[in-house]
Amino acid sequence: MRELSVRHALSVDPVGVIDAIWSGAEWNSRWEAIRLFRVGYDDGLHQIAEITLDWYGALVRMKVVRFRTRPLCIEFFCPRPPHPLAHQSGSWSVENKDGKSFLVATRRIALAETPSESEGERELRLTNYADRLSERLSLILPRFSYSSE
Amino acid sequence: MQKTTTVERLIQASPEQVYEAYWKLGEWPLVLPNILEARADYDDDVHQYFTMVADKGGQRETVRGVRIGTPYRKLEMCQFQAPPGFLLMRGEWRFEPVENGSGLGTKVIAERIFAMEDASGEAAAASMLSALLAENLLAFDKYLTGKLE
Repeated sequence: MRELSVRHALSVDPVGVIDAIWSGAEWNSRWEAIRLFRVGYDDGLHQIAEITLDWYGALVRMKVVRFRTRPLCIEFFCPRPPHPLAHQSGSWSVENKDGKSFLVATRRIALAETPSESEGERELRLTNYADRLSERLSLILPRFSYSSE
Repeated sequence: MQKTTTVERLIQASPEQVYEAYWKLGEWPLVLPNILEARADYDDDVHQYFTMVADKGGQRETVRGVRIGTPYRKLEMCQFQAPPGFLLMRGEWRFEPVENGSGLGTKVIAERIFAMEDASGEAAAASMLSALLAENLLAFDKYLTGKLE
């Protein structure tokens, strides 16, 4: 299991930012790698969605369950993680430090095992995936760090 | 409109034992005879994506949803497909330690938040849910007490 965290400074209303991250429509309009973000259930606190996205040229599908644990925090896990992951969970939250607000994305990921792969090879593959995911998140966070109004 | 129903019961087992019994879906058919199947399609020890099949008067009713555990203190539940006649069904079990003459027990507070398609059925639904929650608590009480004897 690998954990990673990426943050981006916020200068807009944090409530609006978290609301936008909760919205499937906002994902469709703000992040071009999204091909489909279909919300199957949403009661304001819990949500299940099917997502198809472009992952460095390959289309991957995932099922995600998201829930608002605090006003400025969305946690999630994937009953069906995107290939090649066996596990993905994490959060989107707003944190305050030294009088400044930051949008923070955290992830816990594990790769599906591949037959005949050594532990060292899998660790290297996990490191490469985590690097790409961090890069992705560093591109996504600014897309939600502005007001659409 | 959302309505809330709450039922509580003192169970003579520790919060750890009660929480674990509720968390382990494989035990549900042993506790409740009307539960035909119960399985976690995803379980990372904190989140579960579950499927449960219950016998409702000779009809098989399938429930899918998510449970979020705060070990030994709280277990939150949300059904992604509400039962027939309902628009919303979610809730939680809270587990509070209670010291009494018989040793450590647990006050279990079962709560359901629901909304009906037809608001005129709210009072009847609240009574029905209260009865079901009371049956559920009694069944877990008997199951745990039997295991510990």
